Order: sequence, then C-alpha cells, then structure tokens
Amino acid sequence: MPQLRNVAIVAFAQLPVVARDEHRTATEMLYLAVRQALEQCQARRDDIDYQIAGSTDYMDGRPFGFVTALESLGSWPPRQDLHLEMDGTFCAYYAWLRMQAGDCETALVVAHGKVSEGDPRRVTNLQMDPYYHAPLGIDAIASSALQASMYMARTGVGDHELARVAARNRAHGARNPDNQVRAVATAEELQSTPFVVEPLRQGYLAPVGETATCLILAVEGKAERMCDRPVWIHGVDHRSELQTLGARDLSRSAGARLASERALALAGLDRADQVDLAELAATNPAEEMVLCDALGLDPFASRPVLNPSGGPLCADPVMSTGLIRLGEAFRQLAGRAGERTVSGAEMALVHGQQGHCLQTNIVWICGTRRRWS
Amino acid sequence: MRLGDMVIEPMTQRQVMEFPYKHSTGPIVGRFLAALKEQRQIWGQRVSGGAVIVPPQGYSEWDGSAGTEWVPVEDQGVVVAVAKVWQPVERLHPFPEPFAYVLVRLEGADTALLHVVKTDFDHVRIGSRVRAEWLPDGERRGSIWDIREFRLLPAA
Repeated sequence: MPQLRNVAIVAFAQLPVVARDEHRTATEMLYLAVRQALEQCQARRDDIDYQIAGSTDYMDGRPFGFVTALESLGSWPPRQDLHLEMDGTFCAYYAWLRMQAGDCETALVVAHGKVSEGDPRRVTNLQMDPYYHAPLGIDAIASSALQASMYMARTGVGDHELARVAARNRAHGARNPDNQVRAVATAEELQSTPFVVEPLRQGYLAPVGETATCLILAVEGKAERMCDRPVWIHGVDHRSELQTLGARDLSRSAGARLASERALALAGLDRADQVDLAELAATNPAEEMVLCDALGLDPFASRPVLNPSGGPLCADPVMSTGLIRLGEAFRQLAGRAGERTVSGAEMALVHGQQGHCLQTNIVWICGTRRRWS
Repeated sequence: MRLGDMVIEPMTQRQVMEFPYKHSTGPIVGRFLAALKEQRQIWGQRVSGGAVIVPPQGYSEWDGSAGTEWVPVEDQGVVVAVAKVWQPVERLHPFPEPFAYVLVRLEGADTALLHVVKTDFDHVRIGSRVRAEWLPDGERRGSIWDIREFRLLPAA
C-alpha cells in the first residue's frame, strides 16, 4: 500500500435541517455554516488554501449558481476554488486529492441547496436521459422503488425487514438535534403508512429538507494545531457506474462494493465490520440493505452501529446528505456527538452517493489515530 | 425607526422560468424512435460479446465498445422490476391515476426497457409477461410514448 499524506477533518458545521428556512437565502445559510466551522478551529479566512463547493443549479434556480457561494465564502484576494454538481462528500474527496498532490494544506468544503424553493422530484427526473427515461416522468423515488423490488425479489427480504431498518434509523435519529425528523416510530407504525411508490411506504422515505454544511480539512502538522482531536482519513475510494436503469442489476451495488474494498485496503482493514460505526447515505431502507450487502455489513447487528445519527431517513438535505455523514464521523470520533455518542468508537466507515439507484458511490474510512507514520 | 429594529415577515420573490429544449436524437436514438413510429417495431443493437442492448445507445454501456448490427426484438417480454406509483405527482408523472413503472426484458434483448403499465397495473409483478400497446397509425410521432403502455398477458 502507498504511503500517503495524513489528512484530517478538523471542523464540521451545519445548520439544523428544516423543511424550509424562510428566513434566510441559500447563501446566508451557507455563510453561517462557514463562519461556525472557521470558529470551531480558530482559523481565519486567509488561513485556508483551497475551497470547493457542491450544489446543483436546478435546485438553486439559476445557472452557474456557485458564484454566489464563492462570494459568501469571502473570495478576495482571489482563491483557488472548484465547484462540483455533486454532494459535498465528493468535494471533500477532491480536496483530499489536492492535498495528496501537495499543493494545499487546508481546505474549506461546503455544500448548499434550498430544495424547498424548487421542485426536487422534478429535478431528479431531469437527471435522466431526455429520450428513453425522462419523458416517462420517472423520478428518484420511483427508480428507488424499482431497485427495492429487484432487491426484495432476489433476496426474499420483505416489507417488515424494511420497516425494521427504518425504525432503527428513527430510534437513533431522535437523539440528533440537527435532524428534521426527531420522532421515534416503531416498525409496526412505519409498516402501516401508505405506499407512495410500492414497495416504498411513506414511512420509508427520507423527508425533503434543507441546510448548509461546511467541513474543514487540514494536513498533518496543521491539523493538530486547529483541532484537539482531529479525525484522520485512513482510506477513500470513489466509483461510478452506468446510468441506464435496465442495463444494471439494481439489486446489487457493484460500485459501493468496489469502493469499500479499495477504501478498506487503503486503510489496512480486511472487512467493513472491523469499524465501530458506519454512516450510510441511503435514502430508504431497501437501499440501505443493498448497501449493507455490498459492504458486508449486517443491517440488524448491534456493531458496527449503523447510522447513529439517524441517517438520511431523519434528514436528507440534497447536496449535503453525504457531507453530513462525514461530519457525523468527525463528531463521533472527536467526542462531539452528544447524546448519540457511540462509546469507545475509534474507526468509522462513511458512505456517500449520487444519482439514481446508487449510481455513484464513495466510501471513506476515518480513525482517531494517524494512518501513516 | 431604524431598519435593523423593524420586524419583517418572511417574504418571497416568485420567479417562473421556462426553458424549452430541442434535443437532437442523433443517428442511433433517432433510428430507434423512427422505427417505433414507422414500423411499430422495437430494435436493439448488438454490442461486443453478443448482447443486444434495448434501448440502444450506439455503444456498450458496460465496456464502451461500439454498437454493431441492429437487431429486431419482440414487443413482449418479462417484467424484471416494478414500482407502483400510488400517489402520482402533478406535472411529473404521466397520469393522474395510479400506475406502475416497469423494467421489461423484451424477448431477444439482454437489457430491460423502462415503461409503464396502466391497465390492471395492480396485478403486475416481477415475472409477469407484458406486451406493448401501440398508439394507432397516424398518432405515433417518434417517441417512447408511441407505446401507450405495456399490458399484462395471461400467465403461460
């Protein structure tokens, strides 16, 4: 395995996720998150070498919308900046790559999006090709239901197992003050909610919500000065597969499997269940079970603890959902997770995704100790 | 009163945007759509390894190799995934009443086509056999909607 540069998460800030923040613009929300994160690690704006933002113009309702983020970050003197139309977790990956290339030592990673201002289900429809898929009106909830049907047919998993996975997330999520949904619900209660797109019930779907998020990365030598308990990156890998729904086995996630194998190998681990907790960016319980299958995790085991934050079923702010998973790993391993702390946790697996039916996956392995000496 | 002391109710600015697009269909998608209109025939494309891709892209989505010969496939096949939309969304979904999205592996094809089942959709399941219900001559315009829906066939 290669000897890489040790990089750590030194701060993470988010606004509590809400259905609609009618008091702030998207960039005002982002501004608060950035200021909170800088304050956490006592950094001045000029201490940060590199900045990268994740957002999508269809949600913002303006092309090249990232320029407003650029301004609210404070971009004078001119900055090294990049924007991805991807969840912030992928932005963190590119910042980590820049650090491996050796041309920056600190990075601001942000994500924003006010989904309540537009029409998110129509946006997920427009992600598809304009000839064969989009004209049929399929959106991400419907494509997730196709995936769930294939997974359930292949494995024999039933409605009740989905309800149990959803209920576990809801139980954990009640302890997270940043969640949009904080009410506990039993599997029986969730299983009695109506189908939205069968086999997915109302109780199995992530709530639509919004926030802004900011994570700060720093290399060894600086990280220790910015944070008393930096959380170190031990491994990461990112894989994308084809989009066409009918050309994929949706009941499996080959991309998540490969990304986790590579990330674990980089971290010097053999199996995913060697970590203490995992944060998975699954937006419904069937997707979570497809992921567990790919990663080699048991969705009903007590260790590793799955989604101690409550996961996306309790808060799913588009573009930030994956970055929040990474931020949660930081809060858990840096002793900032409050009531939802997983006791004795030293290693975490973090998943992020983009696209329909887990088309693109990223897996991070994080730990309380430096990876490379 | 100073502006900073003024209590203001949350306000919004309404903006309605309309951006009509005219997407070129190209030689591959274009041929596929033209055949729906002119021939009531679904065509796939062979790719390396011999698999037949429906709908065709001009290349293999698996390995990026170029598509080769055109291959006609049947307009009936087996449902491999089903999503029943019990709560359709206005301006998104094609019907105001419940319906199902299905992935159909047509006879002769190695990938599955996305479409809808409307009639008796509540009876469709994985493994169901379905057949295309075509729009009549003169109404087809070279669109995936030249197939009105897929209908359940009696179990064999």
